[in-house]
Amino acid sequence: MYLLYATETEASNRADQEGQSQNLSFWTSPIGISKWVSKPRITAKPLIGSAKWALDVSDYTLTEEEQAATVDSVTFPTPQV
Amino acid sequence: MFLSLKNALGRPYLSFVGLLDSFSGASAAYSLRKLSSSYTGNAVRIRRVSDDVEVDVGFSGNSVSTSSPITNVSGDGGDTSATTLGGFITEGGNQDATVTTWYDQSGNSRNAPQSTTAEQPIIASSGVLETDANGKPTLLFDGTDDDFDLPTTVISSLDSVSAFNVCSSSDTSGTKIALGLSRTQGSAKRHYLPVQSSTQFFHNYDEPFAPAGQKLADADTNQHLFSSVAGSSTAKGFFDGTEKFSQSSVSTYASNRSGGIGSSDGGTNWQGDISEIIIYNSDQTSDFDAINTEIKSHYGIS
Repeated sequence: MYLLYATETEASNRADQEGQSQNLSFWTSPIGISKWVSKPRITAKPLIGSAKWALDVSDYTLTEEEQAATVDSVTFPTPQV
Repeated sequence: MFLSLKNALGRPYLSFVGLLDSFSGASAAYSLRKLSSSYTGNAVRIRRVSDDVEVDVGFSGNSVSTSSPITNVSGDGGDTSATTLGGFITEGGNQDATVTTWYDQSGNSRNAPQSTTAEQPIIASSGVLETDANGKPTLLFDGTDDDFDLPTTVISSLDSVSAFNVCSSSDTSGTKIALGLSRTQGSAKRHYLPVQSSTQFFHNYDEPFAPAGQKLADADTNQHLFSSVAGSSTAKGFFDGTEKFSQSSVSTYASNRSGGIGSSDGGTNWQGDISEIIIYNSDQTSDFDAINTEIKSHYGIS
């Protein structure tokens, strides 16, 4: 389950918010490492428009507005090997 | 009568001698066994999944085990009364634990972190440490997004690098990379050790992607030692200590933007175990066979 954002910054800000909400160690201790529950990932570039940033929010606590905006799946770029 | 017992390297058993004591100069070294007598730090920093409490895990004897001491507690309240790894992962029930940092034992502090909880490899499941077929501790990567960020300073060129990786694949299908030292970008070339593709293992060096000439072996689910050495003129790939190919070396490299251990540049993630990675930013041809032999002996790789 994903939320889509126009920019990486917007997605990162939501990831920050959730990390703080879940009291991950980065936010509660100077020696903590864990910062985010999930990391923003760029989606595959659509034929029209710009690629969006996807955040896997399966383990997030969402608002009603966010819940309504989630999508079940997104397409990520094929890794370049 | 004085008994003088010696280990395989001809050194007395009277004090611990690690691989990095015998073969110094590593740029970075990650393992769940102690690799150097002078290293006084921890093996890994771990997170207990149920409550996000983090602790550093040291060595018990010369390895990570349930007896390993835990220190530097952090998290929401930093709540644990356990003093050992075994106590920590069974406190309040059988716990899952992931690794937030794989500490560098080379002395260069090139620690490999993973700050995103969903991407942290597993060290314990349901109160039991992950182990390889021989019972030695290992880390489990999920094949989706688990990896560690390899510091960009680990190597600086593809014609002066030696690398050793003890790992196993749990799914021989798909394209997966256990160690990505250099990615293709512009004129920069690849260094993957190994990459699994078309049910085969390769040491991908230079370009193109996984050519037949760089095949190391058919893929399987056993634990193996993948190693490579490159100097100013020649690069070689080895499988369980046996040379599988040799070619002219190249120099231009590009570091990962993320990932590196368990992925290349944060993608094409490894599915299976990784137990030990040792990297030299130098040509170790003179000690290469001896290093391979030491690692194979420790892990019981034939």
